[in-house]
Amino acid sequence: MFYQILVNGLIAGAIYALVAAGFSLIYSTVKFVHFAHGGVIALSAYMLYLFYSMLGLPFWLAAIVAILSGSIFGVAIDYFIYRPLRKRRASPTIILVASVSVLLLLESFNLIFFGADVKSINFLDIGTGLTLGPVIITSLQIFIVASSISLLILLFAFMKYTKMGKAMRAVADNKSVAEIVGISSERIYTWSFALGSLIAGFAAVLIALEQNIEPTMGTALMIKGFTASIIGGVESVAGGVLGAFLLGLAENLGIWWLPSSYKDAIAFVILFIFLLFRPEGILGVKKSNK
Amino acid sequence: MSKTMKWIIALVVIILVVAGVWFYSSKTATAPTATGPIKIGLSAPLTGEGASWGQNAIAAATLAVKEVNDAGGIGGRQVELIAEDDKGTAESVNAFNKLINIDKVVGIVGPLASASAGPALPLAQTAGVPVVMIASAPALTKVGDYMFRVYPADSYQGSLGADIVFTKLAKKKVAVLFVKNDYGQGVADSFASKFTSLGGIVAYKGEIVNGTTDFRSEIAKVKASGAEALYLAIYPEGGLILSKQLKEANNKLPVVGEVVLNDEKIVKSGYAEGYIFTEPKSDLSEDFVAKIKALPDYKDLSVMIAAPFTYDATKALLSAIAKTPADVSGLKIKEALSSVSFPGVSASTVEFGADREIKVPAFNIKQIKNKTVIDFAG
Repeated sequence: MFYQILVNGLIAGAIYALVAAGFSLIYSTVKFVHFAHGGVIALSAYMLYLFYSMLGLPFWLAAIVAILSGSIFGVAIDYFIYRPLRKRRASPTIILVASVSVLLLLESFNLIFFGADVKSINFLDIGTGLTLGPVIITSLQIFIVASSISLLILLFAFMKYTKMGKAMRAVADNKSVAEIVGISSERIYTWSFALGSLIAGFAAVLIALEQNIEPTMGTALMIKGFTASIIGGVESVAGGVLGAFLLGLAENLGIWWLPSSYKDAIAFVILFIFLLFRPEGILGVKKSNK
Repeated sequence: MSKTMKWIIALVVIILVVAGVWFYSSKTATAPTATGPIKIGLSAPLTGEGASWGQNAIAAATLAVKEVNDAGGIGGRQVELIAEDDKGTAESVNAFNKLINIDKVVGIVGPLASASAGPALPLAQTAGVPVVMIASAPALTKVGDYMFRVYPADSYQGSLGADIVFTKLAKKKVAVLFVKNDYGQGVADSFASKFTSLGGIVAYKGEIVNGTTDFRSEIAKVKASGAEALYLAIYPEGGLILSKQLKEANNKLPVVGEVVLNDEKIVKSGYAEGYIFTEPKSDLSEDFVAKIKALPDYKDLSVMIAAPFTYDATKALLSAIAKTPADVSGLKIKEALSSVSFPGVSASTVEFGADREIKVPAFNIKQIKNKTVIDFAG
């Protein structure tokens, strides 16, 4: 049973990681909490449902449309909501409130246009999982775990070696200095939202296949994704992914002994421990006292 | 303008405001007038985990009200249905407060979820507003004498399930997974106590939080417990994912549950092949389904068991109101409810006993085979 629970933890962690990666990427440059990220995931999942199940597009095409629409929604939210607020020099708290409002708005939007009932994407035939020694896992789950890990590596490489990644890190590190050397922070913000929300769209497709789609799924995902990125270090994308796997494993190993109704309690106890003793997270850098 | 003039104007304004407030409050303080529509409330999970139940409930209540209105209303007055979303949670408190204090309904249909009913029912009892509920936790009708129920309490379903597992399937060791709230706990407890009294062993009892989407570790624990069968008390949305993950985990245990498994999405998914469940006898007659689907907004609704029960609950309330058309007060309606009797769609006769429970609950044992629901043969 231990190995099965270990694998269950990896699967859960991979799903949290898909959420946390995009969230951390956006946070690292813009420095405010974009809770509406969860709403973008939910909306992208509904786009998949719209184009695949309702309009009958081929799955790969619907998936691409859903992923791209994630990116478009993210940029649109930044352009129409956050940017005007930034121009008025709104504090991060105000932008946080705005992001929660956008999340609720997107959920209500899903509710109005797609209805309250749970939708499933019947693309993959659900068969019995593959038995690998003591463990049962489906091929979709292997794909989810693999893509989470690849995402971790790709994002790490992107931030480290590409010009855009370097520019993002520069803005993340010190916005004023970055602007002095000619990096437009607004442009970098737009790119952060585009890229982070592209990951949200990708997450949406996989989560839609693995779980089901419901209007309020964004909030549930966001809570775990946010917790994961705090644990991992909210300014580090790799940290977010790492935190997600840690969270998934801790939850599942924890309910080996505890009733599974304690799952959320386990997650939040870990969150508190990190907030108290290592608020910068696993990979975060401790800010020096100035 | 002179100072005196200003004072006079100020005085006049004050008098007008005071008079206006007095006039308005004295007007609303009088007893509900015998004109205008008779308002009844519905508290149902229109969104969230139990949304499919809520959508069925609102459709069924709308149908019952429409039938009365089409036949001329009650005592010449039309009936107005006010539906509030209780989300299947304690949100019901807000729903009840609004229905009782703002809309001033004369009676409430619902809640459907025990988790909603528990916190909200005392409000109606205190305010003297009769409630005809569908929620199934055994203790709910004991809240007070304004509480009626058209649905058989969980204690019936749980012990019936225990009977099936022990006697019909001849399994002596069982695992139970239940959603951790009034409903799940109620069913699981009555199942477990009946099963142990028959001589069986409950090897594992796993609680699930409403809204969970990952049951894999619970499934691993069920497997490790050495149980020979699995009993479920879980909502449809969770049940859909659980059955999928059970299938992925190559589950070989027979699964027994109760009526919640009879959800079109679960049945049609193909994940739940072979599942056995008990169901309060309620024939979804084609006639009834057709009537629901003929309503303007509900032609695509997947009609399930919540509809006939909500329909009968609404009809019971409306028949009670029709017995006292001259005085539609809570007290009179409550008294009339105990003598209501009509052929229902959820039971052959809808009548309340002295315990304010439906008098004759009847059950079927069903099984999911080839994505349809059939009578259980074993």
